[in-house]
Order: sequence, then structure tokens, then C-alpha cells
Amino acid sequence: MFKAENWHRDGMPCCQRCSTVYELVDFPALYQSPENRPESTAAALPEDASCFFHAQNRAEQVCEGCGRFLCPVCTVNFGGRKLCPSCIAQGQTKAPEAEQGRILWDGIALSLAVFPPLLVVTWMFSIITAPAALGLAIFGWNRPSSLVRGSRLRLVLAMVLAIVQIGAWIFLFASLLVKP
Amino acid sequence: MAKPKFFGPYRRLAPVRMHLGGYSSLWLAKDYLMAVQSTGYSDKYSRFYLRDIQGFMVEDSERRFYWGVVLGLLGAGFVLTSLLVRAHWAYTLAWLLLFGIPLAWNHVKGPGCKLYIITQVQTSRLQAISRRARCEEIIEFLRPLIEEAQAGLSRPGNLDTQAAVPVAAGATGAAPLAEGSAGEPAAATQPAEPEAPGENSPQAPLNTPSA
Repeated sequence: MFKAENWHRDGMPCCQRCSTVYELVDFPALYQSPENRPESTAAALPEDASCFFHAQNRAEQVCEGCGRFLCPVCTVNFGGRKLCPSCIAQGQTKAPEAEQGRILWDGIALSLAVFPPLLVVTWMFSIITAPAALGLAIFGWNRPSSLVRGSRLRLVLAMVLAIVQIGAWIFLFASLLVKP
Repeated sequence: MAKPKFFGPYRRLAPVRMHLGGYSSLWLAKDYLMAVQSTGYSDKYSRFYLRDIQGFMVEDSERRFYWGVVLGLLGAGFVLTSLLVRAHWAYTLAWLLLFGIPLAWNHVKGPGCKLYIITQVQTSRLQAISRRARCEEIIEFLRPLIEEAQAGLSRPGNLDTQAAVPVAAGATGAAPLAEGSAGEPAAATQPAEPEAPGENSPQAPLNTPSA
């Protein structure tokens, strides 16, 4: 572990602005200045193919999504493919790297199935929430779950609990109807 | 490191950590780190490509102390109360275990810390890591992977692998780097000017190498 004392001449291992004590583990990327980066705007000569987005730049890649010619500025190495920003924005890649978030239908369904019946005040809402939980569990069955947790256990649990509650409501109404 | 858990292409680096409003975890894919923030109803993914990681910043936190105080006071309160009211010994033992085990576990896990990841455009806290021991374990695990991913990059010649770096970032995620010339941080080439901390100098060079 890199100790901040190693590089603070005055031996004060803290930020001089906020006095936060910290240590730093550094990597080579920290020392790369813009001057060290590859040239990204080679000017196109009249006989060169030019970038679709920057006519003044020479094309050096082809977008694997739409086939447009791209200069290094527009080439995005995305999930092992070289794509243009337009393709990424349009969601033409299904790579998991493109996903910024997911809705967890299993979590919502399970909450609807579990929480309302637990509380004295809210148990009667289960007449609405139980069918909703069942519907969401069915809706979410083929929807992608979390990137890092793919089990359908929650969906199954939500379905079972919802069906039990729906059954209980049906039994309640049926017993009220047949009661003399 | 504990036995790794895999899910698809992801390897879990840190177990799920609960906090206010959800839980966090940290995963390693082929060429990036992925921090997952979840509320239970939605996930949010933050990816940090190994080739882009400039460093980790580790800050001490008082997490262990505060948890120790809370658990200790609550445990002592319940145990003393059950003794004062001459409750059955099983109640006293139950309170003792209820608070004593988490208290011991809190102590065994070691001191707390906050881990920040630094890239060229952001300084983000990795909330899944909150203890110093696991933090160091993960950094040591990631170090060769990151250096391999950045094999084409080099450090300035006068800096070894643990070299001087000017950092002026606080917890607010201010840009961490002082401006330097062609691969050299400014503070590595010239002594830092002593400058009073203030709003007008958030990125002032802070330090110089000791060597």
C-alpha cells in the first residue's frame, strides 16, 4: 500500500484543503498527459475517405454497427466492438457494457406480495397488491434481472405468495356469498 | 481473498454491503470493474475500465468506532436493565449475545475506510468497501490486473512504482490532478508553492516527492 507519508515532504498525509487523511495507490494512467495520447485528428487529404461525422478527418475505422467510416475521435471501443457514438446512443449494441441500470421486477413483485399482508393496517390492500404482484411476476419472468443476480427464486416466491393471497380472498368472498 | 463468487462474466470482489437506501457490491469483469448500487427495485451500474483507472484513494473512517459505541451502549443498556429487574438469566444471555456477537464481529473486521477510485474524469466512492483489510486485499488483487491493462503506459522516469502524485481531491470528487507537462506531474518537477487553502486554489500542487 502506498503511504502518503512517502511523498509528502512535510510528513503530513492529508489533503491541505480539507485535511482529509488519505493514501494513494497510483497506476501509470495517472501520468498520461494529453500530449502523450495518440493523434486523433489526422487531416483528410482529397484522396482519403473521410469520417462520416468529421469531414475534415481521415477515416480509419468502420463502425461495426452501421458501417459508417469513422475517425479515431468517433471510434468507440465498446464491448470488444468498434462503434460510432450514434450506434451506441441508439442502443444497437446488446452488450452488457451498454447497460447503466436495470429494473428489478422480481424485487418489486416480491415486495408487493410480502409487505401489505404483514401489517395490520395494510393487509386489506392485498386484494389489489396480490394480483399486481402476480402480474408483475409473470411480466418479469422473461425480462432480464440484475446483471449480477439472475435467479428467479424471488419471482417464484412472489407468485406463490400472491396466489395464496388471491386464493384466500376468493375463499373469503365465496364463504360470504354462500353464507345463509 | 475469500472464495470468489462468479455470476456470468462477473467475479464478485466484495460481498454485498447494506447501507441506507439500498446495498452495494463490487464486481470484476474481463476488463473493467463494476460497482453495483441497488435499491432492491432497481440496479445502477458504474463501470471503471482497468485501462482508465488512475489510482485508488483510501481514506480512514470511524465506522468501527461508531458501530462499537452504538452496539456497546445498546447491549450494556439491555443487559443492565435485565439484571436490574432480575429477569431470567436466559434473557440476559440473549441480550448479551444479540449485541455481543455483532460487537465482536465489528472489531474483528478491522478499522473502517472509504475507498475512492480515480479516473481522468471522475473520483467515485466505492461504497461496497468499508473496511481497511478488505480494501487492501482488493487493491493488491487488482494491482497486477490494472498494471497489465496499462502495460503500454509508462510512469515518469524519476518516479518508481510508488511515486509522488499530486492529489487535491476531497470526498466531493474534485479533479484530483495537478497539471503537469508531458507525462510528469507538476509537483514532481518543481517544489510546491505553499498556498493557503481556499476556494480559489482547489487544485494547487500539494506536495513533492520525498526522494
